[in-house]
Parts: sequence; C-alpha cells; structure tokens
Amino acid sequence: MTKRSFRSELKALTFALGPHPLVLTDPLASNVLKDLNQALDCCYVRKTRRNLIWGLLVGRSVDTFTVSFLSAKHERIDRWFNDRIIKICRSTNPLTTDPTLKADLLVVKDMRNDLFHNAGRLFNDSEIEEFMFKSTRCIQQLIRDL
Amino acid sequence: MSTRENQSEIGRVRARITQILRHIPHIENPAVPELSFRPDFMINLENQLIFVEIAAVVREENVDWKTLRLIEHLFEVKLFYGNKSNFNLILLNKNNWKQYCIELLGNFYDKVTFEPVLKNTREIYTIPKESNYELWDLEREFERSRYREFTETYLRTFEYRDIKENDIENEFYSRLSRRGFHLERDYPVRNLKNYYLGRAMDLKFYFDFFIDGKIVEIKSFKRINDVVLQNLLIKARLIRYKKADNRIRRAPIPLSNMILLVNGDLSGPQYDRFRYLRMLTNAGWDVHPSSDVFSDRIEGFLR
Repeated sequence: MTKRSFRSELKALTFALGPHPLVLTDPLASNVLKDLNQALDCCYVRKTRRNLIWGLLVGRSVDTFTVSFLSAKHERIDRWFNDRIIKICRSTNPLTTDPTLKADLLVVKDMRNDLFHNAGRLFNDSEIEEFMFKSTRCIQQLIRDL
Repeated sequence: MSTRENQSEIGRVRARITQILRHIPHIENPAVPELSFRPDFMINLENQLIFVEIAAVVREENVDWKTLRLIEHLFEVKLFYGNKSNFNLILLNKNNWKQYCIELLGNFYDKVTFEPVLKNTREIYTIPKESNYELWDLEREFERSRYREFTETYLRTFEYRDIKENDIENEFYSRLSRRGFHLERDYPVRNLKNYYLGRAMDLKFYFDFFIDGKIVEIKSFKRINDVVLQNLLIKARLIRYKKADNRIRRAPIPLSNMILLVNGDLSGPQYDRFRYLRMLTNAGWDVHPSSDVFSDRIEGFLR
C-alpha cells in the first residue's frame, strides 16, 4: 500500500479541519499525544496551538490499543461518526455543565471489543446523541479546568 | 512515454501547481485514513476542501483500469469529505488515454484539465459537480447499511498460502459442480460507465463466477496492494447503479450477494487493523478466506 503512518494520517486529518480545530483525545494514551504533537508541529495549525485542547474523552484505558479518529464537523461527520462510534466506550463520566462545544477531531482508542462485550450491538441514533452529549459536557469541564 | 519520463513530467506539473498554490494553505500527498490512495494536493480554502490529482499513463499500462481507479479515488473523497468537497484531475500525455476514458473522467470529476493548458492558467479547480450528488448520496447510504463488526480471529484467517489464483478457481468450480451447483464462469455485468457516456457502449465487468444469484470473485496476493484494492472497490460500486430518466437508480442485481474469496493477508496498519476488510465490506463485498473453498465451508455462505 502507499506509504503512510499514523502520524501522517493525523496530519492530513487535522489539516482538513481548518485553522482552529478542537482536538480531543484520551490523555492516558501517551503515544497518541506524542503523535498528535508531532503531526501538528509539522502542519500549519501549529500557530494556533492555544486553541487545541486535549481532553479526557474515555474514562479508562485498555492494555492494547489501536487508534481511530472521529470527526464531528460538517458533512463528513456522518460517515465518520457512524463508522467509528462502535469503537467508543460508553463509560464516559458525565459532568454537569451544558454542552456548547463540538469537537472537530476526536482521537480515541479502539475499544470495539470492550464495547461489544458490554453492549453486544451497534448503537442507535439516540444513544449516539446521548454519548456525544455526555462527552461534550465532559470536554467542557476540562476546558474550564485549563 | 516511459515510467521515468512520466515521473519527470509529473514532477514538473507538481512544481507548477506548488507555484500556483504558494499563498494558499495546502499539503502535498496527504495520507487520509479512509482513502486508499494519496492525492497529490489537498487544499483547505475557507473550509472548502479541494483535492488535485495528477495522472499519466505509460504505454504498457491498462488505460481502462487506470481510469476506473481514478473514478474510485473520486468516490472515496466524495464519500469521506462530502459532496461539496472538490476533486480535480490533471491529465498528462493526452494521446495515451482512450477517448471514452477521457469522456468518463470528465463526466465524473469536478474538473479535468490537460497538462498543456496548465501553462496558461491558474484555475486548477472549480465548483463541485452537482449532477453527481445523487450518486454519492446513494453510495453513502449503501455503505451505511454495510457496517459490520470484525474480530482479530477473523482477520487472522486471511493468510497467504502458496496456491495460484487459477488453482483456487478450478477447485471452487469442481467442488461446487460436483455438488450440483450451476456455475457460470467470467460472468459479465453491465455497469454505470455505460450511462456516463454520451453514446452507447456496452461496457461490462467480468466476475469469476455467477452461482445461485451470487457473484463470486477470487483473488490471490501476499499482501493487498493499492491496485488490487481499488479495482475491487470500483468494480463493486459501479455495478450497483444505472441511469434511468436522467436519474441515478439502483441496478437490479443481487447486492448483498457479492462474495470475495481471498488468499492473502488483509490486515491493515497496526493502528487500524481492519481497514481493508472494512473498505471492501463497505463497498459491498462479503469477504471470506479462500481456505473456506478447501474446507467445504463455502456452501454455508452460498446459501
């Protein structure tokens, strides 16, 4: 296949989001942060680093992980979201603030197996909405704490 | 034109485009996860994404399949980045392309420019072609119906064994014939290409087998590569649609019954192991290891 790496894919994804992307990932996944950092360092969004926020998305870690992405903006949200939602663990810790922010890019662990053991099925629309609602509240709290 | 001449020509065109884009945010050869290829340029213009790809054919290359792979690139960009993303093609050495291929690309792509024109223009992109929105929407809807869950155990069943593709085909044919199945070899299916041309042409794809209302394709490779992957993806997509009353419609073929038997490694990169399996499945293939042919499991999923 054409040569590529996780880092180069992150770079392409963040570039496509425009100049002020809100990027969220699980801080427990230190390799993700490192790669994200490297990816952003070599693309033009570097100048707007203050607008990039890495937050706690998923409340626990797993031993082995692969990384997937989730974009939540414009038309491309739909396919991406539907394709990847099965990979996100439901065990997000909901906080009490109102959601006003939407993430442009969520970098998440692959918790597909974990999820399927718990749920055993795909999520429906309202469950996805609930998940996003809870995640967003969680994210906003993190932003306040910065 | 030789491969080497092609490369230097492409290099020259790239340099020209880089010059045109020097004040515009862009990256070269972006590695977008859901694209099976790397476009030459991705431009982010006030939140509109524009892609530019440069394509050339060398003499010994199969122009028909090259054209189809370029159409697959377009599908992938439109499906992932939305109908309003903009994908433009720059063609080199016009004489090496068949006329109908140029026509097809012109009808699918948002803009097709020929390399000599590039010397006198800075306009390498235009607005997205709305007439194709319906097609992208239908394909997106189809893909959503195809989301599946995969496991590492299943992925590991796809391993390369030293068997020729022909031998697997023969084995498949003889085993199923013995069990009373009626098989047609090299089964032709009309595809959307016919409807994207301004004149009548009877263009067909040929599949290895047609059996009990199901299309079966057999592929053998050590590791899947871009060309094989893209050929399979576009073959699956284009037989799904036809044009009637100037609108895109689903073609009356057994959509849920496209079986791909693979002798080879299908695993994706470490951080997205199921990538190729997912791409093939989303495009319409039910993917199985070719070892199933030899272990008599084949009848199970043919029913």
